[in-house]
Amino acid sequence: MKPEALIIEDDAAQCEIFSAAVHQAGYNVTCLSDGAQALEYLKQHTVALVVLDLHLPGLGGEHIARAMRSMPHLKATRLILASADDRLAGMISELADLVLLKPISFIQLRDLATRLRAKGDFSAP
Amino acid sequence: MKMLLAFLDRLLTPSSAIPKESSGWYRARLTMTVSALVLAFYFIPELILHLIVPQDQVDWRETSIILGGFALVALGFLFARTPRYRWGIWLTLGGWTFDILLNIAPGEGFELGATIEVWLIFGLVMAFLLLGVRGYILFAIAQAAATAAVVLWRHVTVASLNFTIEIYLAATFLLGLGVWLRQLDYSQRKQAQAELQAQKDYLQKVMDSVQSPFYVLDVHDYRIRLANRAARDLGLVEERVTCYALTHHRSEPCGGDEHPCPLQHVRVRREPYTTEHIHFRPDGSTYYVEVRGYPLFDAQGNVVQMVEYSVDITERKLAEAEIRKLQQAVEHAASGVAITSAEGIYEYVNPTFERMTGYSRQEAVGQTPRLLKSGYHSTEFYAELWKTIKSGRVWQGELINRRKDGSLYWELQTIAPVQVNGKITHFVAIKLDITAQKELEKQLREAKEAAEQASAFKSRLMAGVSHDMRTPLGSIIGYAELLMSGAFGEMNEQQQQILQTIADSASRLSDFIRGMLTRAELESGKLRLQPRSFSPDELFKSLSTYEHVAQRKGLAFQREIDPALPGALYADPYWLEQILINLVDNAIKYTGHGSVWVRLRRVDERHWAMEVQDTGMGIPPELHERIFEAFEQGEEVKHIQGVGLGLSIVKELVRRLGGEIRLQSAPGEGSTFTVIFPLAEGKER
Repeated sequence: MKPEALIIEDDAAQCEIFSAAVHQAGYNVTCLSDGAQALEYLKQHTVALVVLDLHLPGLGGEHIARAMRSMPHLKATRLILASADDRLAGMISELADLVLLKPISFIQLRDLATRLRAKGDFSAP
Repeated sequence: MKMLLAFLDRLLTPSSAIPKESSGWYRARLTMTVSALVLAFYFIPELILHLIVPQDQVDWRETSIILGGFALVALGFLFARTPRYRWGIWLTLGGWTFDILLNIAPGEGFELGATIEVWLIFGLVMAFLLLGVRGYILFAIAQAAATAAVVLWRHVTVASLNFTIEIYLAATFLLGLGVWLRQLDYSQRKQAQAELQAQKDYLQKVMDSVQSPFYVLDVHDYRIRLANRAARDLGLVEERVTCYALTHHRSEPCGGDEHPCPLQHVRVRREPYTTEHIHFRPDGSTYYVEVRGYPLFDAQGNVVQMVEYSVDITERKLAEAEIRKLQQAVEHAASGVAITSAEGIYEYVNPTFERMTGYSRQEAVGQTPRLLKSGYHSTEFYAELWKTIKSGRVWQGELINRRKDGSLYWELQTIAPVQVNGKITHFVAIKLDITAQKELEKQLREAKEAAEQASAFKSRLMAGVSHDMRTPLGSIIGYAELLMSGAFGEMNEQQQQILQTIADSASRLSDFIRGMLTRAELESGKLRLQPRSFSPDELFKSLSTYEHVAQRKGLAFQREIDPALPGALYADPYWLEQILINLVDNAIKYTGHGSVWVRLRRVDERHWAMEVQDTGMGIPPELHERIFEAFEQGEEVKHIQGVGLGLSIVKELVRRLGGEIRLQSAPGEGSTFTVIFPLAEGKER
C-alpha cells in the first residue's frame, strides 16, 4: 500500500507539478490549497509526507507546521517546506526535514520524495 | 622833608638778605638808628670840636680815642646793614663803651661821674634790647670788667659810689624784671607754641591717617602748601613742587583740554569739583585717581587755596573695564541674555533678547518671564524649573515661548542663579532660539521616516517581487522537467534540449533574483543579523537542491561535519547558508567531472570553517584577488553563465559576519574555498 502524501499549495500549477513529482515518487497524493482545510485534513489522516508552501493565504504555513508537529499521530511524518522566502524558511527550518527554495525543480522534489520514502529517514542521506 | 625821610628810611633799612619784618630786621634797623644817633650827636660834634680847637691844646690821646670809638660805631653801622647785624650791635655797643670809658682815662683824678654812668646804663639797656638776656649779661660783665680796669689803671676817684650802686641796683632790678617778663613771655609763648604744635601734630595725624593723598594747593602758583603722609609718599612735598609737574609730568599748568583741572574749576567757579585723572607715580608708572578739589577762602572770600583729595581708583577702573568688557560681550552675544531679580523680575535684557522676543528692553524690564509664557507647558513644568533654580542649581531645557507678535518659538534656555554669600540675588537666563533647529530636526525626522517608509516599501516590494517571480519560475521549471520526464508523452531530443534550456534559463533567473536580494540588503547597509544557536547540520538542509543538481551532473557530492566541531554554533545561520549556497553553486557549475566536497570543520581552539572543495578547472593565482571583485570572472569561465555575482557578495557577507575567506587553487587542480569564523565565546557547546 502506497504511503499518503499531502501537498499544501495555493498555486494550482505548482500543486500539479508537486503532485506529479510526489506521485512519481510512489505516494498517494492529496493537494489542498486552503490552510484551514489542510489542518482539518491532517487531524484526521495519518500522512507520511507533507509538502508545505509557507506562503498560504489565510492560515499561514508556519502555523500549520507548528500545529502538525504537535499532533501525536503525525510524529513520523516527513515535512518538506517550500518557500519563496529563504529567510522565512530558515527561521522555522528546525520544524522541517527539508527546506526547498522556490523555484522547486520537479525532478529534485521527485528524487527527494523517493529517497525519503525508501530510507524512511532523510536527515542522514 | 618827605625826601629826607625816604632817604633816612633807605639809609636805615638793612640789607635785603634779612627777611623783612623779621625780628632780625628790626634789630638791625634799631642798631643802625642808634649808631647813627651816637655818631651824629656824640662823635661827630666831638670830632669837630677836636679839629677846630688849636692843636697845642689838644690831647692827641683823647682825639685818637674819639676816632677809635667813631670807627667802631661806624663799622657797627655798616655791619648792622648785613645779615651779620649782631656783629654790628657788638661793635656799636663796644665802640661807644670804649670811648666813654677811655674818655675818663686821660686825666688823673677824673671822677667817674653820673654822665658816664648814664651812658653805660644806656648801653646795657641797648644790649638787652638788641642782644637779649645772654648778650646783656655778657655785655654787663665786659662793661664791669672794662670799668674796673679803667678805675684801677687810672685811679679814678669814685665821686658818688652810692649813686653808682643805686644805678646798678636799678639796672639789676630792671634786668630781673626784663628777664622775668621775657621768661614769662617765653614760657607763654612756649606753651602756646606747644599747644600750637600739638594742634598741628594732631591735624597732621588726622591728615596722615587718611590713606589717600590729601594736600593743599595754592590756586595762584599751583604749589603744594601742605600734604599728608600719603601725598608726601607720592612726592607731593610741601613748598617744593607744583601739582602739574608731579602728577602729570608737565612743565606748565594743564590747559584743560586733556582733562579738566580741578584747580582752575575751583578758582573760577568757587565750588567743589570732582573728576578723574591719570596720575604719574614717582616711579613713572600711572594710575587712575578720582580727584576732589575743595576751595579754601580767605577773609575777603577770595579763593586762595584748594584742598585736593585724590583716591586711587585703579582697581575700580580696571574692574569697570572688566565689567564693560563683559557687558559688551553680553550686549553683543548671539544668545539672548536676561537677568532677573531673585523674585524673577527682569532687570536687564540684551539686544538679542529684544530681537528674539520682540519686546524692547523698556518693555521687558520690570516684567516677569510670564511675559513670554506660551501656555504650552504645564504648571508642573514651571514649578520644577523654579524648584531647580531656587535650590541654587542650574536649569536647562527647551521650551516654547510666545513673542510679542504672538508667534511661538522654541528656545533652549539655561538659567543660572547668582549667589552672593549663599543667598540668591539674581538669575541669569541664556536663551537660544532653536526654532529653526527644531524645524530642521522635524524635517530630518520626517525625511528619515519617509526614507524608512520608502525603504520598507522597497523591501516589501522586493520580497513581493521575488515571491511573485519565484512561483511562476517554479511552474516554468517544474513543467519543463515534467515534460522532460515523459509524463505527458515521450519527447524527442530537440524537444528535450529546448525544455532543458527553458529550465536552465528559469534557474538562472532564480539565481539572479537571489543574488539581487542579497546585494540589495548588503547595499542598504542594513544587513539584518539574527544570530542564534544552531546545529551545524542545519546549514546542510537547503543544500539538498544543489546536491541534486550535482548528482544530475554526474558529480559526487559529499558532506562532512567535523566531530570536533561544537554541537551548537552561534551565528546567523541564514547568511552562513547563503555563503555556502553560493560557493556550492559555483563549485558545481565550474566542475565538469569529479567531486564537490562540503565540510564544516574546526580550525583551531577559536575558529571553525566552512569549506567547499571541487575538482574543477581551478583558478590561476593572478586571478585569486580579482574573482572576489564585483562581477569579475576568470577568462576561462566566461562561457559558463550566470555567475561571478556570487563571489563578491560572498566576500562582503563573510566580512560583515566577522569572518575571512581564503582560496586555494591552481589551474587543473581544482579549488578550495575556506571561510573561517571565530567561535563565539561561551555560546557554543
